[in-house]
Amino acid sequence: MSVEWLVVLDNALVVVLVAFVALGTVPVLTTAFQFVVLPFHSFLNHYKKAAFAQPNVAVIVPAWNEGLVIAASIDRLVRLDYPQDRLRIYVVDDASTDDTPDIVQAKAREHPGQVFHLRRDKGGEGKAHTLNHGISRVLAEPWAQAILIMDADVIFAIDSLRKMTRHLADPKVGAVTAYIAEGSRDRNFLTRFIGIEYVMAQLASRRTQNVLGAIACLAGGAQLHSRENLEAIGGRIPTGTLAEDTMATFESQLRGRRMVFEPHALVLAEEPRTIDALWKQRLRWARGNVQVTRHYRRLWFRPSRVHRLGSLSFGLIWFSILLLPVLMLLAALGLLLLLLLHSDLAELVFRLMWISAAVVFLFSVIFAVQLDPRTGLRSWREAILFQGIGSLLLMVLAIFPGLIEDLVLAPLGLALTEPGRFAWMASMYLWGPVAMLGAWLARLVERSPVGWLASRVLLYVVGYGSLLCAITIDSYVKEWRHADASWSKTEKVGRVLG
Amino acid sequence: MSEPTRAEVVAAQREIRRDARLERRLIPKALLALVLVAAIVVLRELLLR
Repeated sequence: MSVEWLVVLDNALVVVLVAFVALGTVPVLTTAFQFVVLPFHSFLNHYKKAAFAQPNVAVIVPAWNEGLVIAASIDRLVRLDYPQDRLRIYVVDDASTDDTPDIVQAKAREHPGQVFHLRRDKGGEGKAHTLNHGISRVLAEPWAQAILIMDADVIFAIDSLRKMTRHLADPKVGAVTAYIAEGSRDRNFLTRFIGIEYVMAQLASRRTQNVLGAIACLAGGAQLHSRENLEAIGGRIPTGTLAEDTMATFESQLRGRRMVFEPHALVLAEEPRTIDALWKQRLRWARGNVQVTRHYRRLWFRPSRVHRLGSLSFGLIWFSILLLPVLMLLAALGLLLLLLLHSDLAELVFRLMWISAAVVFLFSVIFAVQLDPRTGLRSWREAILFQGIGSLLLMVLAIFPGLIEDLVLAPLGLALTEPGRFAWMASMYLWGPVAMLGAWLARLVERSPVGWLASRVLLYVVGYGSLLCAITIDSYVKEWRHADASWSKTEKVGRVLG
Repeated sequence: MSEPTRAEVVAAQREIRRDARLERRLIPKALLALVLVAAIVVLRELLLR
């Protein structure tokens, strides 16, 4: 092969590798896009069309062994600032084996005609089946004008239902969802991370989705459907995937109905306190998202006049989350191969990538903590360390190149040798995959005698984002292997602030 | 079935207007974030000089 051809081949390879790194930057740019669109919610929101509306609301509470939480949830529901003669609560007991039936029956006696106990003799089929048992009962009667689907453990703020129903005054709105905040009484490092995640994923991202006109998911813990909307999607929650709430959201929008996220309707939820419990919960969500992506494969990036799910912006947001670990791996591979071929170019591309990540991270975190200052104050450490100490260090090193040499090595009279420099650069370029491995390790060591400390330190180093990426990879593997997809419930013990 | 009173309807409209006003605070919040990021960028330039 001639030298010219080798040069052409080299150039082509460089272009491909730089493209790999650029692909790895797409999620960063998508986050930037979301936070740039977010302020437009100031005037591109649904408040102009909201009005006083107090429809008859049937609340459906799926419950399987919820003895520890169900009484508090019912008590809070009957105390909501909403006309009590327009509110009925249907607890669908999914063949519980604890004292859930006794508690719900006692509540039904306490609130006759308002609290109902519906018993399924065969349970364990999943949340969607449980919900559908209640929905079919509610829709069989003409009373309900709206149906609120919630989780047994969540606590609605006193004014939250009222704030949700006002959007149903607009007949184009099919469903409304609320802000689910982490509300445990005794928070730990993980629930504080989740608190920040929910601020970013709901108060920020769902407002952006309001502006863009396409909502990815009505939170399963608080989705208020108009009766017409629920009937239009077949009078039942789709049961084909592990993401029943996302399926219901998509089906509603495909029929041309608008979904609204109401950021001022607050619902508190109890979230997992261990990495293992979080992993199981999020694996279910992530597998559900893979299944939804496959189910709606003809929808993506195909604009429609009926809905906005096929828009470019929504597709980018969806796939940036779904493919984040793949894009990170591609970027790492691109950087590593560039290091072997053209180390100067690798360093330049690496710095550009991490400087953009740093700018977007700073902007999004500063913006996000202002959206829920209480969570921001409570979880400021987790907000700063959301991407992990390792990523923060890489951002600093990208912004201040030569920092290690000038501030650490030079005062000690040391300098990096060529092999040492190569190893140092390679370790930085491979940080993304290493951090995901670290997150996996954090789950593994959690149950060891010093696990509580080791897993916490590991998670702060690799970052909560890496944990979510590692779970997403696990979801790809489980889906590819058609692993058991039986529905596993996240244990709730009633830690939510009343 | 209870019928809404005029006072309830007015209170609901007031609440909607208040929440819409709260949403307008997104712009100053975004600007504050932008200013802080810009300050850090300027600081970086000064430190690298």
